[in-house]
Amino acid sequence: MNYYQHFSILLIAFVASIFVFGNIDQVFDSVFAQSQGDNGDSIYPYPVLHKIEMSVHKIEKSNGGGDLYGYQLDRHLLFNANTGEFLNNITKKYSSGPTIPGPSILIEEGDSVEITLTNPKETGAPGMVSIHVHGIHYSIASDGTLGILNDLRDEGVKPGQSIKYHWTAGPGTAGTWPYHDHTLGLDLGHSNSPGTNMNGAETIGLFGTLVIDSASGKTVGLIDEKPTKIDIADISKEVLCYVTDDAFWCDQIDYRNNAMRTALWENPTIGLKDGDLIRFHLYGMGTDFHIFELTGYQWLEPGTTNIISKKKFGPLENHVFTIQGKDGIAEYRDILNSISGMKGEFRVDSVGESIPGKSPIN
Amino acid sequence: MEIMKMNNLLKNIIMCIFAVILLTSTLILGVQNGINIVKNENSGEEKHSILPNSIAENDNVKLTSVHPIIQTAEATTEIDNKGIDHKIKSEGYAKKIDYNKGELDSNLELGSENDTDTQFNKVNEVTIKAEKLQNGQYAYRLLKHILYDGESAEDLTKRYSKIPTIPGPSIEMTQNDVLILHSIDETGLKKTQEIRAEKPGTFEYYGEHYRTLGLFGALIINPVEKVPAQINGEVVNVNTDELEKQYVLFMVGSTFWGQEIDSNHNQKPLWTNPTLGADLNQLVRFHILGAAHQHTFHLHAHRWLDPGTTNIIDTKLIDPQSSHWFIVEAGDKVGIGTWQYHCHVFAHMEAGMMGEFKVGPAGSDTQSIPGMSPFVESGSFTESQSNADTSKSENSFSSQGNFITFDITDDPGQWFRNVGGELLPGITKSLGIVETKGTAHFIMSSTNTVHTISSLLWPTGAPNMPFDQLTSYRGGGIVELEKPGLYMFTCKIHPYMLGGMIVDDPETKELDLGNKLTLNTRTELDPNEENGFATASALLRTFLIANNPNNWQDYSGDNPTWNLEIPNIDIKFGDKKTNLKTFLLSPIGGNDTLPLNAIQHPSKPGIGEVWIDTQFEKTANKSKPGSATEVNVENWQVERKVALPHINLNNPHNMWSDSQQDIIYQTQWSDNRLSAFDRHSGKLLDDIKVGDAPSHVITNPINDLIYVSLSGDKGVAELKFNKDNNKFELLRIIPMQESGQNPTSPHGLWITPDGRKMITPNHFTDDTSITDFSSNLREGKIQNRTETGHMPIATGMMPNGKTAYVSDFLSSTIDVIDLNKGSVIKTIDLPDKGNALPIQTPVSPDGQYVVTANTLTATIAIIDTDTNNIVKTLPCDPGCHGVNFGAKEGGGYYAYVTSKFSNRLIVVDGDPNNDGNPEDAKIAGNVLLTGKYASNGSPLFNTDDEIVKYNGMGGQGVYPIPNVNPGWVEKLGLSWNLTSEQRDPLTSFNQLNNQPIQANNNDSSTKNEDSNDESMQSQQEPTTSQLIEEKLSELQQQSVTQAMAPNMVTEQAKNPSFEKLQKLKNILSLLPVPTP
Repeated sequence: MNYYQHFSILLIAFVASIFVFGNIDQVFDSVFAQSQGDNGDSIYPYPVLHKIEMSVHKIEKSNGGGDLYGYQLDRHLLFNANTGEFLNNITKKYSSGPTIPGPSILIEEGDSVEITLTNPKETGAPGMVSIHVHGIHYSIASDGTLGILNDLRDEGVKPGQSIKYHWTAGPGTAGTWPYHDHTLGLDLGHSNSPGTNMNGAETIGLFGTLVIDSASGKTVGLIDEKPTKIDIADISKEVLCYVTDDAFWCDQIDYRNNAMRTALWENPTIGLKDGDLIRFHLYGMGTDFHIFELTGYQWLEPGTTNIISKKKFGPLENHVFTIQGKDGIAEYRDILNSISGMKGEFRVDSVGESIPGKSPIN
Repeated sequence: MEIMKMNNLLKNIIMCIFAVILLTSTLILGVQNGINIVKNENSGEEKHSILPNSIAENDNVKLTSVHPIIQTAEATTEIDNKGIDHKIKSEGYAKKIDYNKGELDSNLELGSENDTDTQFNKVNEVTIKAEKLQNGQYAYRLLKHILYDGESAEDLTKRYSKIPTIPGPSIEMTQNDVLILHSIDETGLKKTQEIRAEKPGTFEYYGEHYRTLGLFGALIINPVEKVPAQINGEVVNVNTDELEKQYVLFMVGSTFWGQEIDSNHNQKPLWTNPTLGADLNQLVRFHILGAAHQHTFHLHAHRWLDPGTTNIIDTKLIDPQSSHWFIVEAGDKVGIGTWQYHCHVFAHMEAGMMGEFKVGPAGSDTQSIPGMSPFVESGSFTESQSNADTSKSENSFSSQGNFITFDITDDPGQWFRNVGGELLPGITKSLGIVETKGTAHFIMSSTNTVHTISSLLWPTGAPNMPFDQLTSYRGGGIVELEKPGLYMFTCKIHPYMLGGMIVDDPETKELDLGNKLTLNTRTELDPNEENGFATASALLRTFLIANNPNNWQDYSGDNPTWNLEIPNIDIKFGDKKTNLKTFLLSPIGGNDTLPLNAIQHPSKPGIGEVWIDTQFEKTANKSKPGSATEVNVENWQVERKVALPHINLNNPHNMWSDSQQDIIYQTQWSDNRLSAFDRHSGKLLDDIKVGDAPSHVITNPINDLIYVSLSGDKGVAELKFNKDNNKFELLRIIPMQESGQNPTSPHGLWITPDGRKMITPNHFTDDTSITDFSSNLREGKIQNRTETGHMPIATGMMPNGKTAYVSDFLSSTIDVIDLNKGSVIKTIDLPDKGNALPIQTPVSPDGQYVVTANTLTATIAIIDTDTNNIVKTLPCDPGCHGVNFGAKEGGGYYAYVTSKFSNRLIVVDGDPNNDGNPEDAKIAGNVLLTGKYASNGSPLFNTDDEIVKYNGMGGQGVYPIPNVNPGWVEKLGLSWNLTSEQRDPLTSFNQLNNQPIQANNNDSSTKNEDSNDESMQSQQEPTTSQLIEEKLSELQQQSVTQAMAPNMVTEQAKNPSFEKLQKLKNILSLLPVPTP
């Protein structure tokens, strides 16, 4: 990381912190604590190149009603972006097989990603499928859209093909971002309407999450009813849920267990150890709007010091917040659709184990 | 130590650097907080969404009478509508202004020196005017903008477009300036208001009326301070004076309406879904505003600071209450490219809500490109047309330009309402005519529920076709129609809602229907093939009947006649040139005036009463149509009409009752509510929101729980009615698909007599869900989904609960389904016997036959359940729709059949001789649904509202009381005068079923026609009206035969895939002979 970049990050963190904390000394200290390598979680003090291989797989619904699709993580290797030196293979941290939502990719500001998507001939999608990502930097060649939209070329893969996308988590890209298909709709052959849809088939399972942690290693959360800066390293669990038109589809990253991902599927029971910090990453997906509520909890409206207890959001809007678990069982739900089952338990106890919900895999 | 020193040094330096930033930040924070307050006050967002959508999205009543309405409570300190002796109340200056002069007094004193808190610097005097565009939309035009600065005045009018635009002129001003806004509304009424720009930001102004049709614009208040923006990865403060371009995008329906403001503040209209052009790294500002429906705005590969927060986002919720602005560098860190911007609501994306942000190389001067526009230079369109062919003017239709806007409404006969009015006066409000590359634009602004905008028919090979969405939604749609010919759009939930577009080739003299047409079943209609020609004729005729209430069959009066209003214009279909009147009328005899049968009640009475949803009836005290009409079937008189004006009952579609037959449950198909009313008094008991577009309701005969299919939603609502307090309780919504699967849109459901299974035909997914309640009545699980034909819509149930009949609307088939295996036993082809587009299809309570209402052909098919063959086809009325069974006096049943575009009820006796064989099925009579009136005009029936239009029209759901269907009949009290067979249909079914089944019935069609004739003759001498009926029936049979006998090679016919294709081709190739 060169000086300029470092400086700009400090600047962002600084300004951001002013908004959050309003106290310049506190902010100053927190920012500089980071520069001294005191954030506790930065394993690599240099940018990492992530080489990721993913594939798309059909999740057959033999009972009728149309198949679902899921992204599957096949390999995730880490390299030193400066030297090219191989660092680690973290493939085993992911769930095996396709999942909904797709693999949760966790990187840091400053990192870059080479992601190869394969559409296997036998088990994949029948038509062109792609990855379109939000938030991170990429050139038009990695937009993951059809040529009719990007004026360049079809940036997806037909059965038997692979495509490589390049992403760069430049300064200012920190955040939680969705990735999803942007080309499949054209060839899917929905029973009633093949359609002229050039927007993909994002609603039937082809979506996932990219988390870009701030280079500062910090986030904020509401702890003891106060806005509090938090070392990301102190968070025990990330729960990443897509709120679709009919369910919460969740994945988790458990830092108490070596950052292992567990597919939690539909409306799971989200478990947390009493007193642990948990970060919720929520996304809308589909056509409906939602009002999210987590009973008995309050949290910070992202980017503000407003304390809220429910939040309205629409398709592909994100909502990210960090809270501390309080012993007991709470309910997370979409107020507008809980009558049709869009809800689940948030269970905080001494064990802290999540229980996956119903899986579409028969 | 070194580090510590460094830190201290840095600390000091950075403290200095940021001291400035901090100060500005604090100021900005205050400003942003101001915006926050505006948002909070305006939205009550969450509150809004919890309300029924009808209130949240469609209630214009709440709007105040201010014109235009400006969405900035914070910025507006004084609003005055009277326009006279208006005082500007300001510490800075105080001046009486006489607005009647139309201009500001030039002696205006500005900015008193000793006031430092609120210094209002300049005064903008702006005049805007609402104007109607040629296509019926509205737009604001700027007449004048004068900026007063002390003694000097600058005329800024030249910055603006000279024409009315959508969005309207963007009024740009600076924080602390004053705006004197004169506005002239669409009626010419002038009003004046004063806005003090205390808080910077972007706000919407909009008209009291026509907000969804174009009367909206942006008020941009530029900050005096710099504003934070993320540039090159850093949050920096930028000066809004440095903006190269600004884009204003309004999200309305499923369309972006755009405008560009250049660095010199000159404005350029960009109209719909424009291409926004910029050079790499140019500083641009987006203003995103909502005027109708909820959206999420997304721009590819760019991210920005959410104003008022430190949050970096790339997708933002935009609803009619919100506005959003952000500043980015074009292509910042991602480079040049064509980046898509779109609404991220999936159905809106499918409906075309997208555009491009084209970032060209630095210095390339990449320009924005306007999208399709409804604006027509005065007279230019008609001129160009008459230049192309002067004789065309003989075809007298007025031009609305090349951009047609349809409002989607709940109003009968104008569900797709061309807001420009009737192109063919007196003919229909639902047709648009454009030239090549015309635009069809839709907005759901006059409906309370969700819909789809789906192409039903289009010229073969036309680009952008088919046009469809996987899920129903609130919004709109926009699509360019390039190829000449006839296009038809429908709502897949409410398939009687039809909108037509004709793209007319200016090179030809006639109105062009196209060379070949494709139906959304992928069937081709070739004008050179008789069935293709006939189908196109049938569809267009049906369209003109459905969409013109004058073309509905009115049986009231002494000598009812049917006058078909069909325009007399020359048309071209393929190479065939003809006249539209000839094209549509010759298959039904050539006359546009036909005598209708006089009403003839059945000779034998029924038992009890029958409730009919006269869904299109308009009454005086509510805006939405529909009532439930009660017919006493013992004397065949209308006894009651229940319109429920106080809840604005909206398109009542189907009914059921509690087991005691006391409470009638009523669905509201164009809404999201289920109502309960007292059957005896017609009094409303409860009204509850259940979900979008509730279509059918049924009870479980075992526990009396209520099941409502939510055709605009994803499942079936389960409710309980508490008689103690007369309240519904919504227990749950049972999804009819697994999570993630495409929405099913369940419709005409049924429950087995033992209450163990529920069958729901799924409109959208071409299958039928079987829900199993066997293990636990409270935990229905989907046993399986059975693939059926296209758009399964209604079901019938055998008394033993083992077999169900599912009508496939678009395939014109009936699937016979084994409920245990979930498999299709047989598919019955309806066109074989002259029927097409089936709707309701119940089984007779004794299980002997099925009665199917066919809407396109206006026929009733009788299917023998022993053989699953059609044994009889009886005539019905246009829009033939609902069927249900009631008890006939002395034993047996009547099937009551309704039609949407007629005001009579047809009574079918499916088995007059009661031998279990329906081959003698006949029409026993009919009943007028208008009810009787005394000579002074007062109704001779009970009613809660005054009928003003479409009396008795729109017959859909049918619910006879007592409910004699197996499962429910057993629960009836002994007071009903039913026979033992009627009380125990299962036993009679089993007894009848033990009789030897008739042998091979292959040749049933001929046999049936014979028996038909026999039965007719054996009864009595045919009356004149019966002769007319017969004649029409004959004509129909002929055309059916023609349609069924295409010039095909025998070998081809044997090929199964060809057969399938041919079957599809025949689906709609039948004449809708709406029989008098």
